[in-house]
Amino acid sequence: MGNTGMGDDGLATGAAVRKPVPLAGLPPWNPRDVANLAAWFDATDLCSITHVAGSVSQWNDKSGNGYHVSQTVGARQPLLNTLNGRSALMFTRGNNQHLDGVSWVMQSPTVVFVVYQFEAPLVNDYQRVFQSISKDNIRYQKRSGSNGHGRRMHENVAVDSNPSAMTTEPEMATLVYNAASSVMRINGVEIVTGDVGTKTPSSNGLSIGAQTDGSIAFGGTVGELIWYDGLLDTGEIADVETYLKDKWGFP
Amino acid sequence: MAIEAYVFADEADAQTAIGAIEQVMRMLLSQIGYHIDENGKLIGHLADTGQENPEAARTDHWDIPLQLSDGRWRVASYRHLFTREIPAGHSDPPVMMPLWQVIDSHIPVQFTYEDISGLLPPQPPED
Repeated sequence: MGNTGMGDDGLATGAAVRKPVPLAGLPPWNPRDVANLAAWFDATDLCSITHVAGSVSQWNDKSGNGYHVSQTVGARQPLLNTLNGRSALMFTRGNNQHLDGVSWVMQSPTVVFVVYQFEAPLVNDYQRVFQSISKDNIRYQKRSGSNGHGRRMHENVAVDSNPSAMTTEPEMATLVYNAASSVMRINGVEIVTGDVGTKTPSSNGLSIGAQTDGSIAFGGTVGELIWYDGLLDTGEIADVETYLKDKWGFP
Repeated sequence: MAIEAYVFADEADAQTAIGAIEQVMRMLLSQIGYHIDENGKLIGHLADTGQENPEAARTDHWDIPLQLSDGRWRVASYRHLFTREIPAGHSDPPVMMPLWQVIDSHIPVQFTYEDISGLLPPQPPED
């Protein structure tokens, strides 16, 4: 992805591209084409979603690692909804909706891509989009209104975006958790770098939409979340971002 | 943004209500094709085909009561899930009633239905 054309040998041209463009009849590029995929949650793939009357009880991990996330309490299950016209999961903040998966030992460094939208208007509370179940480990959230909203990625230390840039438009975050070389990108543009520190051992399990007890709940919609163990090179990051941009209709 | 919920005087009433709500929900959901396992848990359906997915997590409770900042207890609303209307009673023409109202009528304790957005427990300090 991120290709600018096709060469004579069937390979894409362009500095950021190293992979062959799929030939006719072959499956399209997907996140499994980058090594060390840990988990992949894709709400547009309805085969991966189990629900009761629209309330989602399980969202399956498509990586092959089986890190599915689920919720057994009906009111805390997110609802089937849409984001930019594609199937997505809507989390209602007041109902503490979230999905958890416990059978996962996360690694650090790690790279996470997430497509989401905060509900409008932004409320004062701070809200977790996702976090490791050990709540003081890897996490991503909107900051509280008293801190000007903004986005925060956090492992052992917080790295914050410029609060004034926070919106309720759909967006794609790329989060490189890599100690002093951590990076937050929004819609493919680097907006902040910093030191998130490290935690050893790394956290276990993932919660999407709140802490596992339902507190610090996120209000909004999540369309896709892709998680890699270890670091990706710039070309690989561009590949995943292009895949998500094309799919979710980001400019 | 309003957050509407059922509000009860104490936790025991909230738990009683959840038990009653779950009983009616199981009945209603079984009428539209959802099965309940031997432990009373609801088996979900795959979103693409609508087929039952017994391998996935099952729904065992409607909610867990949450204490509000004024000391009362809230149970989450289900009104968005049960909007379909059914005939109530045997009058002719029939009086139509949304399913959530049927569930409400089975709650055996006193409650109010209100906006709790200003009553949510305070968040822990931001980290």
